[in-house]
Amino acid sequence: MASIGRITARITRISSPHHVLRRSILQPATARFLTTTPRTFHSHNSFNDTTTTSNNNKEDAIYTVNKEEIAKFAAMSDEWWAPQGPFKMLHLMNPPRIRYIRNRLHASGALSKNGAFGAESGKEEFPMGRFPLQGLSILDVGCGGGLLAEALARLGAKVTGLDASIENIQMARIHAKKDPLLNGVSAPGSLEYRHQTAEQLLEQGNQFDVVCSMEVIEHVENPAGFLKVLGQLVKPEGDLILSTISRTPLSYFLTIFAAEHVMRMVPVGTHHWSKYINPDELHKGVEELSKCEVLNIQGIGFNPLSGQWELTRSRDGSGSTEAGLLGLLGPPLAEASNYFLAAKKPAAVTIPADGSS
Amino acid sequence: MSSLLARAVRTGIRSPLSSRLHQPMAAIRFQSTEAKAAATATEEYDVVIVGGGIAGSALACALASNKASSTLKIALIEAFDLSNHIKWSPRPDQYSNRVSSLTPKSVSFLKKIGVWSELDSSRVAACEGMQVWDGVSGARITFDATDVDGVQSSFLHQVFSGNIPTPPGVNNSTNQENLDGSKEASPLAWMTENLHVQYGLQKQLVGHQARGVKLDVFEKTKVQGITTEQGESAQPQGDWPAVQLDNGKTLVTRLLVGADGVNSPVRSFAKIESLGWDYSQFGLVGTLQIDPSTSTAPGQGKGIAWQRFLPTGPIAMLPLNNGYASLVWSTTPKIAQDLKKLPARDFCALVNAAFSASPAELEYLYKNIGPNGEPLVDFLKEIEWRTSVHDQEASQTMIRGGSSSQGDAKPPRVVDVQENSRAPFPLRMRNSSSYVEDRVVLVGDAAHTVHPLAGQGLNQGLADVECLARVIETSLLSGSDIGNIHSLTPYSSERFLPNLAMLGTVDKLSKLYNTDFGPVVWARSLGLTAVDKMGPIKNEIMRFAMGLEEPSKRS
Repeated sequence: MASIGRITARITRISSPHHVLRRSILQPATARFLTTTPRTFHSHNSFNDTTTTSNNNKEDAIYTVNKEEIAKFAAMSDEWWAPQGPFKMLHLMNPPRIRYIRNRLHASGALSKNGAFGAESGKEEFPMGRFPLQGLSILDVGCGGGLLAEALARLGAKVTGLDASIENIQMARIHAKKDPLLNGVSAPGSLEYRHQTAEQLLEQGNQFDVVCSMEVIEHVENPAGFLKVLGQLVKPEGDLILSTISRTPLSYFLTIFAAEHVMRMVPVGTHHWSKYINPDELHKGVEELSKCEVLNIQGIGFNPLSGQWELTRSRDGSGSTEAGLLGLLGPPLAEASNYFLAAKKPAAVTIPADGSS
Repeated sequence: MSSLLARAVRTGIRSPLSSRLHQPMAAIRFQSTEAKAAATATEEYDVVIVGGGIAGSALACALASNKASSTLKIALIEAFDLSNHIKWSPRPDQYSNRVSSLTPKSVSFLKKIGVWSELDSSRVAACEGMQVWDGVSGARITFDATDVDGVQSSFLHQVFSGNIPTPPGVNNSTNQENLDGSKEASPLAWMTENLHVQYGLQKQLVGHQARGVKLDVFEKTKVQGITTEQGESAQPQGDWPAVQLDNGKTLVTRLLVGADGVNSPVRSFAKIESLGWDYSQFGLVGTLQIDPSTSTAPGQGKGIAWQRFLPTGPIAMLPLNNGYASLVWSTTPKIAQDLKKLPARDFCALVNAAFSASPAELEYLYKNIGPNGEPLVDFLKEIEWRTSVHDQEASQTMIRGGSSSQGDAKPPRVVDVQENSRAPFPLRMRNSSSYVEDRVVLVGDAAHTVHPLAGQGLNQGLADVECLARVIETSLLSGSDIGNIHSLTPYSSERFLPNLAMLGTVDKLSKLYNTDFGPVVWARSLGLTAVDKMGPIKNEIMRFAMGLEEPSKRS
């Protein structure tokens, strides 16, 4: 636990100067969500410290989950699939997310057995068949309404979607029934949703070829503990793919000032700037806590001219063939707001099941 | 009624009045699914294309020829007999009156989907030049394939590289050498009959079916209604459009494509408005036989398209092979009807006059067509006499040192018109308010209809199809639901503006030339002559018309 504590302390320390900002701007909004939508969510106690460990009873075990955050997204669960609803930006972000996951899995060798490779107009090469992810088990932590999970399953993966909100899971299950490609019979992909936390899943001894958690870590209570659990859920030689938002003036301007307050593209209170994590912090966290080797960090930005999210150039220079204006952007500006991180778990590392180190 | 507004479907609002709001022009009835559900066999598809015209068939072909999208289950529904197109075996001395000019961009698309190589090279005519002039002032602009400098070496050319059209059957590599080495340029456009393109498309479709693509063609089948079900009793795919066919089948589809023409029932179903107007003009098409001794540039085998703007509308003659040409004459509804009934001999005389006589003389001739299409004067003699007067005037002008349009190249003389080939049709300008809705997309004439004066209608449709096929592929490769509105939006944003620009340009041209008002004639003539002398601008116009000037590809 010692090392986790250090990192947590570090992250907390970095965050603390912004708590004032967080209270003044974001707390009322969060409160509004709670008062206007008096839902009874399946109450899990959330814990604001890292002292709780998995040997408590089940309800208490979810130490990375933030109760208010769950309530916030649960209140919007029926909006997940409304094309012009509050999650429109996430809908639009889905294709480049998939492109990133596909390209990183290809680069790490996870897709080598799945068909011929080719290049889609101007982009990096990847398997051109309908089901490039066939044969992979993928865990999507914090799946929400299932935007990413459905897409991964359509590409042939065996997907497990996880969310701490029962409303989200119910919405995701209902929506998945609408598409025969997801029923596990007419196509190779399959989709299973679980109302569980990552910790609970780990306790049951589950591991996956790929673990992804997109725009989730900035909403969890204990990012350090979360990263550790995610790392443990990845099979040896498996892949961990994360996305989150950098804590920069630019990200405050784009994701909170512009997106929430001016453009109203996402509801006010969706983001907490102080919880954002910079690429270097995440890099260190993934290496030390998730015990995975970071292979790639790449930014993504919304191009208002095209109305689409576009991947920027990554640190290793890959992704420079991306179409679109933002493909010209390189680090550090490219990673100053939303970004992805891809990491691979080494073969040799074994992590004790009880989570201590 | 379970027929719902498409928007209501998206937002989950039921609209009990929606069934009454269907436009009367929709040729289909919208029935409640309850009535039909009991008796019908329902089948699921990924893509249902309503309309087996060139746009619809080309989409089926494009999807079937791509690795990712060939795994889709596709249905193509057409009210007429598509298998007839495969049996198409025309006589060398007969041409259909529906001819299209295919731009290099359209041709490279047809090559990509394997259709171009199915065509018979003897029935594809290269158009290597274009003569466009003002019937009132004589101001003229000449386009030549060699004017488009940089086509071979430009970036745009690189984008389309390997796709520079060659006549079917011609060895591609030989042509490439020509392009790099010599000055010989690729044609401005290729003229061929719409039936010919259909023949190529249907042959490819049959080939795709034979190699196992899940492509069902429902020919001689009409769409009786399109509905979506919602609510408690709805099927899991409740928000998918259900297409009821007159053969008793119901096709439930992830994505419904309206390639069903200007009065698109699919567009009505999706409650997409169609905006625009009818021109007070008709187009008269026909197949002409021309005097080989008068066709320009003999020996070079160069096809020239001729177009003259008259106050009643433009008249155009497009080159075909074997001494034939295709006519598109836009004029008033009355004159179009009169021209259709006129005996062949007098009709040909009038076509020749329309390319040379003054608007006033033409007015006189139009007035001398009787109520049953009988000529009230001897058109041939009238025109011969007038032509001789013109020639004298022309030679006098030249003696005085002036220039005259009479000194320019003349279109070939028309000697005959193929029997029953004359047909008038109303000219319209339409653009849909949107090309996409959730699970619905419009292509070709269903999305937009353009005045035929620039010959761009079919090319716009093919560009739609090419774009949509690419957007569907991209969606598939990113695991998206191809019917989702967000998956379709890139198609709409890529096609809407170029189509609107083309519609607007052609509409303005039509209005600009639809007058003999002095100042307008003077201004437009000045413009036309000036543009003719300005290489770069002319270059841009030609690139646009050739389909080379497309917005940058992104997906």
